[in-house]
Amino acid sequence: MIRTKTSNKSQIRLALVGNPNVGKSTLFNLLTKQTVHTGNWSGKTVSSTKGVCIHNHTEIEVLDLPGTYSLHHSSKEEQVTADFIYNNNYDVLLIVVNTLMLSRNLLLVLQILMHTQRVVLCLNMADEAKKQGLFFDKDEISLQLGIPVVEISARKKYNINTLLDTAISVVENNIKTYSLASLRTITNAKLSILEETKVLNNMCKDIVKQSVKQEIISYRKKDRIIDNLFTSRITGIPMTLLFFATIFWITAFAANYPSTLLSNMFSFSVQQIKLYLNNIINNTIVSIVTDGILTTVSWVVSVMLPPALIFFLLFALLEESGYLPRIAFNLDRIYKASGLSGKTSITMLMGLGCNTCGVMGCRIVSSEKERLIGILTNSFVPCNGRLPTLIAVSSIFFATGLSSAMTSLTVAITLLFLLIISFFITLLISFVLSKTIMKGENSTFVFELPAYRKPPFLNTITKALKEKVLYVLTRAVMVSIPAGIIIWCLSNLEINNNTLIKYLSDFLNPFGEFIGLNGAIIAAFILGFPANEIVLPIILMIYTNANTLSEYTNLSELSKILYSNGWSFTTAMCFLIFTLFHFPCSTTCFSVYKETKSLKLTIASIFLPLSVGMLLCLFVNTISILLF
Amino acid sequence: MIMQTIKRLNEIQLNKKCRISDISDNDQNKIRYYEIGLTPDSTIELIFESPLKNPKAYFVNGYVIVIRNEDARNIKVIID
Repeated sequence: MIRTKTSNKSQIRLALVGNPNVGKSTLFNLLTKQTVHTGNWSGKTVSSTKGVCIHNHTEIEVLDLPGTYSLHHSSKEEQVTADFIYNNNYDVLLIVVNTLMLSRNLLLVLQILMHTQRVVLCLNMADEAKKQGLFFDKDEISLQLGIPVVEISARKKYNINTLLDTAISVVENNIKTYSLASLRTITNAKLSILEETKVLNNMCKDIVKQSVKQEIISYRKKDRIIDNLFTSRITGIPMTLLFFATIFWITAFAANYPSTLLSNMFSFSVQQIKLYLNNIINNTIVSIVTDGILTTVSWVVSVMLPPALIFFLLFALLEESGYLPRIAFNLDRIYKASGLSGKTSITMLMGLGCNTCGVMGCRIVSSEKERLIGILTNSFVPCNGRLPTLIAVSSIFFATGLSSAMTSLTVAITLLFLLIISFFITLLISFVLSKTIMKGENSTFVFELPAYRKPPFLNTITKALKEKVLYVLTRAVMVSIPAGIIIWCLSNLEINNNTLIKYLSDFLNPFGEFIGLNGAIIAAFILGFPANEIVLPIILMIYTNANTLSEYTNLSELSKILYSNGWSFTTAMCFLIFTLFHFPCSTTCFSVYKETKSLKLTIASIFLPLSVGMLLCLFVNTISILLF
Repeated sequence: MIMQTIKRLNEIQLNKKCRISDISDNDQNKIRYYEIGLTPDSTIELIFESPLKNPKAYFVNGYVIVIRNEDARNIKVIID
């Protein structure tokens, strides 16, 4: 038992477990409204989340574990929960159950009871169940299971105090729980997993028969109507495309103004800092700090932050509403043809925001082979950091002389086109991988479509902000600092009157031109390994011989610089393609390593998109030479 | 004896309730079915299909489960 006595408070560790979509997270948010400390990364609770709750002078550390149907895990996500329960590092478990689906939820309950009795059963949505005609005998269930049972409604905040009182009582041994003889027999019989599951399932049925009076009969009419809209022959896929396109459009264009605002603000501040420090400290050091580090960091942040905020918020709302599994449902057939499953579509959608998030999101995929392929190909999806670059170059080269409205339209169409290419290449490469190097078992694609619900707005915002935005922001700042130093050195240190970066760019030029780009572009991508946001600024820096990341005040200025440095229409096309397919950014590579624990796979995740990008550019360049 | 029609899950029609009678798949998949609530004697109903006709969504024991057609072939149901 984990107890520490600090003054008159003692601490209890309580964990929330249960099937997916039973309302664990809602309960968690309710219990811990004072503070939320997150674990590593919590997507749809893809890792554990911690918080603290104080009840009657007792400090309770609350953990929210990923939802699972069984302790015999099938995805990495579910494994986290199973491992946690077996490790016994808790005082009491709160098994949250959707009262409407009692018999299925009971399987997990029985599995857990075979292991520990420090359990309280929490019948969530009890009020909903009663409204839909389900009547249950709480005391009978408690008798059958040997543990206390509390009915609550997390959404309506009903009976939460009783729940906490019961949990504390179990820890303090004021409520006695007892183990079931039937479960002991099963444990001793050492059955196979299938046999054990069958026996437990029969037990669940018996318990339900003895304690539940009436069953729900039909699928809710309201949900049926919405589902018909989202999944029908005619409207299904167009609706999915509409959602994707809207989120994408909002993040790409709505973020523009705040980004510019931030960028101007930072640039002004950095100049002021520079002026001030130049009087005190050695100018070179000041330059390294301001022109190098601060400029790079502020560039990355101002480009990255507004789109990230918008995207992750919209994505979180979509996730909480229950729509995401419908996307997987609609697109599964296409993904299946490539050796993947519909769930990968969700990870790709996450990758649109940030590839790191997409890579980590692959934990929801139950087949290991599919998970790994998803991880390797996630960087094919253009993340938020690459969008401004794609937009700028598309505007200049594909919308010359067009009105502002037509330019927006052209850019939108170009982006759509690029996304479609990205989508198809991902599926194609996945297909090749699944048939050759990464052969493996396809898991049965059976999953649940949760009921639709109105996302709890405030909770979703805070969760998205704290967990995702803060995470990518911290990482962005951390990688920008060394990047800034390196960029400063390359653009300020000279040998024979030429900056190091000029040498690098010239050295890479032959190869660059071979594939339809040029040396400056390749150098910029290499130096942009920490963060995709700085690729275009580095290119400008090289062209204008500046000693710091350069900005452009408007597109025509950028256009002049690019054209006068040898950019053609073909260069632009190859540049766009290479932006889609080069190598994952440093943070993503780091995540790939963490998720796969394999150096080989991390290297593969770098060379796979790189080879695809180089080959495609070579192809486009060759065609263009032949045609013109 | 009452004649009961036994069909495979992927063959049933929209909105017709039937009962699961048997699952003939490999062990690992069977376990998965049990865990997600597809158990013998449960009432199951096809409620809608995906735009590309595969997979389909079924309503069973109070929740909605998505099953691919090739997996649904392994589940036998009785229509009473």
